[in-house]
Amino acid sequence: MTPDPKTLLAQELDDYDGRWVAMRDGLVVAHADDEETLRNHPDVRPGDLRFPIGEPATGFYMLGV
Amino acid sequence: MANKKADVVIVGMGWVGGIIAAELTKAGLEVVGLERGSARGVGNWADDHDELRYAIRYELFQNVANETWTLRHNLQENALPIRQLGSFLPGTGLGGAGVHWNGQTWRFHPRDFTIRTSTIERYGASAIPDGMSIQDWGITYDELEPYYDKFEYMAGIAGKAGNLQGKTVPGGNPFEGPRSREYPVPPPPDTEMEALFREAATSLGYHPFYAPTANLPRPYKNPDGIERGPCTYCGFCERFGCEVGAKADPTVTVIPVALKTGRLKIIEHANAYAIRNDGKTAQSVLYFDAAGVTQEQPADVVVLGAYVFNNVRLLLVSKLGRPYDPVANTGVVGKNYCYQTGGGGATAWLSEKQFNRYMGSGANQVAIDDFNADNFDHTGLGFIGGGSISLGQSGARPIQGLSVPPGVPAFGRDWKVAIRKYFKSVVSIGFQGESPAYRYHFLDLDPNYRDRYGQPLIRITFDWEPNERAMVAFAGQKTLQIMQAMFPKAAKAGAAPYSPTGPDLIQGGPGSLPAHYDTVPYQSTHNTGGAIMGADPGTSVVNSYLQMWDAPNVFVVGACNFPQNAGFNPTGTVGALAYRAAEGILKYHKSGGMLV
Repeated sequence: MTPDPKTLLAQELDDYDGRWVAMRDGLVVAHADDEETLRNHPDVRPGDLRFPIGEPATGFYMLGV
Repeated sequence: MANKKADVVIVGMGWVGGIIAAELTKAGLEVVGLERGSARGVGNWADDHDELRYAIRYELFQNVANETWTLRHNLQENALPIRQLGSFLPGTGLGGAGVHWNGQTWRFHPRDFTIRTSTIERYGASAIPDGMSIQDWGITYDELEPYYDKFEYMAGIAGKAGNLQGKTVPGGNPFEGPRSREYPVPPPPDTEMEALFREAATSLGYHPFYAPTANLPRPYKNPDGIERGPCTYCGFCERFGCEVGAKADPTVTVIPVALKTGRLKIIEHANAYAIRNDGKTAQSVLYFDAAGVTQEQPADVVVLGAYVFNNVRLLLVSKLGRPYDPVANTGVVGKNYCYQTGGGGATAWLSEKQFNRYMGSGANQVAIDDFNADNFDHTGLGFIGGGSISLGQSGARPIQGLSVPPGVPAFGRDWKVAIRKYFKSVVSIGFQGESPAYRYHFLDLDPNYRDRYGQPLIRITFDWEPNERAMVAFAGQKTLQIMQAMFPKAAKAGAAPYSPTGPDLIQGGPGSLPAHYDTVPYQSTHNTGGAIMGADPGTSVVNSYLQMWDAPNVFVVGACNFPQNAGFNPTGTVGALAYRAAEGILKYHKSGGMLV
C-alpha cells in the first residue's frame, strides 16, 4: 500500500534537533540557530510556520493522570 | 459454561463503569462489572505516601509485562512495543484511572464540539491543514450540559462559575459555555504562588480563575447521599489513591451506590478479550479469569467502559464495527487517535521566596483560558487550537518534585545545595494544548506483537505535527510573559553560568516539541479517540448516546469517543458522556432500536 503523497504529513525532522525551522506545506524551507535569524532568512515567507525542534525545557510540570 | 445472563455487562469499572452501573442499578437493572484488577478503596491508601512504590514503580498502573502497545510515528516505520511505562499511565484495578487522577474537572468549550464547522465559519476551510481530520462531535455543548452538571454534583466539584445561563459571572472562567447552575462547592482560597499568578495574569489583561477541582475543600454530601470529608492537602494525589476520600473517585462515589442496590456484581481479575457477536448484536463478553481460563458473561447489553486502547482493541479483536483504513480512508474503528500537547511551560527558581510546595492537592490551581480553543483570534498565526495555562500547587513530592536551574550538576554537593535552596521555591506555569485529529494518526491491531494471553497488541501510529509545534511555540511566549510579570527582577536561566548566590532565575520562551513523539518521559494520560462519536455512521463508531451504529446493543464509552482532544483534562467530559450513555442504555433496554 502506497499512501497518497498529498496526505502524507510533515517530513522527518530529526536533522533539525535544537534548531528553529520554517515549514511550508509540510516541508522545511529554512532553518537557523535561533528565531530571529530564521525570521530574517531569505527563504522564509510571512505565512510559514516557525518553531523550534527539541525536547521541552526541563521544569516541574504535571498535567495529571 | 457461561455465567448467569445479566441485563448489562460492563467492561472496566472506572469512572465510566461506575457511573453507568450506579444509574442502571438504581433503575432496577441487574449489572455485572468485569474488572481486570483488584477491588480496593480508601482503606488501601492509609498513610501510604510511598513515592517510590506508587509514582516511580507504578503500583496502580497497567503492567506492561502482561499487556502493552506498539508505537510507530508513521506508516513507513515498523512499530515496536513500549516495554516500560512513561509517556502515559493507564490505570488498573477497581476505580481505574479515576483512583489516581489529580481531580482536574473541566468542561470542554461549545466550540470544541463543533470544531470543524466553527473553524471553517471563522477562518475558512483553508485554515484546516492538509491531513488534519478534525470533525464535529454529533452533540453540542448545550445538549451535554445537563450531564456535565450531573457529574459535577455527584463528584462534588469545587469551582466558580464564569457563565451562568449565558450571563458572565465575575471570578469564574468567562470563556466557558453556559452553566445551568453554580458549582456544588465553592473553590478554596488561592495559595501564595497562585495569588501571584492571578495578579500577574490580571495585570496583563487576562482572566484568571480557580480551576475546577474534584479535591473537596470542605465536606460535601452528594445527591446520592454519599458524604465525603475535606482534603488535607497532603500533596499525594497524582499517581496515588486518596487516603481520606476527599478526591472524588469511583470507589468513594458511584460504585458504593451501585453495590448498595444489590444489583451490581463485580468480577475481579476478569480480563475481557472479546465480545461474542454476529456482526449486528452482541451476546456476551469473553474474559480470562485469574487462572487464565476463559469465562463468558452473557447480557442483553454490552458496555465497553475500559481505557481508550482496551475499548478499541476489543472492537477490533471482536470484528465489531468497520476497522479504519487510513490509506483508503474507509472504516471508523481506530480512527482519530489523539493525545495531549504539552511543552510551552515556564519555570522560576527563587532565592528568597518560600511557597511550601510540599503541601497541595492534585487539581489545586489557578488558570487562564484566554489562549485555549478559539478564545483568541488565530488570524495570521498559522495554526488552529490552543490550550489552558495554569499554575498549580499540587504538592511537591521528595523525588519527582525536585527541580534545579540549568547549569546545576545532576549530582554531588552543588546539586544538594541547589535542592535545599529551591525545593520550596520553584514555580512552574504549565500549558496543556489541544491535540487535533489527523488522517494518519490511528489505532489498529499490531500484526507482530501479542500480549500474555496471545491477543494482538494495539498499534499506535502518532507523531507531532506542525500545527501543534507552532501552537506550543506560541504558548511558551505567553507562559514566559506571565512568569516575568510575577517575578520581574528574575534573570534568564542559562544566560550566565549558574551561581548559588545568583539572582532569581526564569526559564521559558517559545515552546518546543521533539523531532518525534517520545514515549519515555511522562507527558499526559489523556489518550483519546479510536471509537469516536458523531452524527454520521460513515465517519463515527457511536452515536450521541455512545451506542454503536453497527451493533445497537453495544455502548462504547469514554475518551475513546472524542473525535479530537481539547485543551483541557478529559475526565469531566468522560463523566458527562457516561451519564448520557446510561440514559441511552435505559432507553434501549426498555424499547430497543437505534436511539438516534
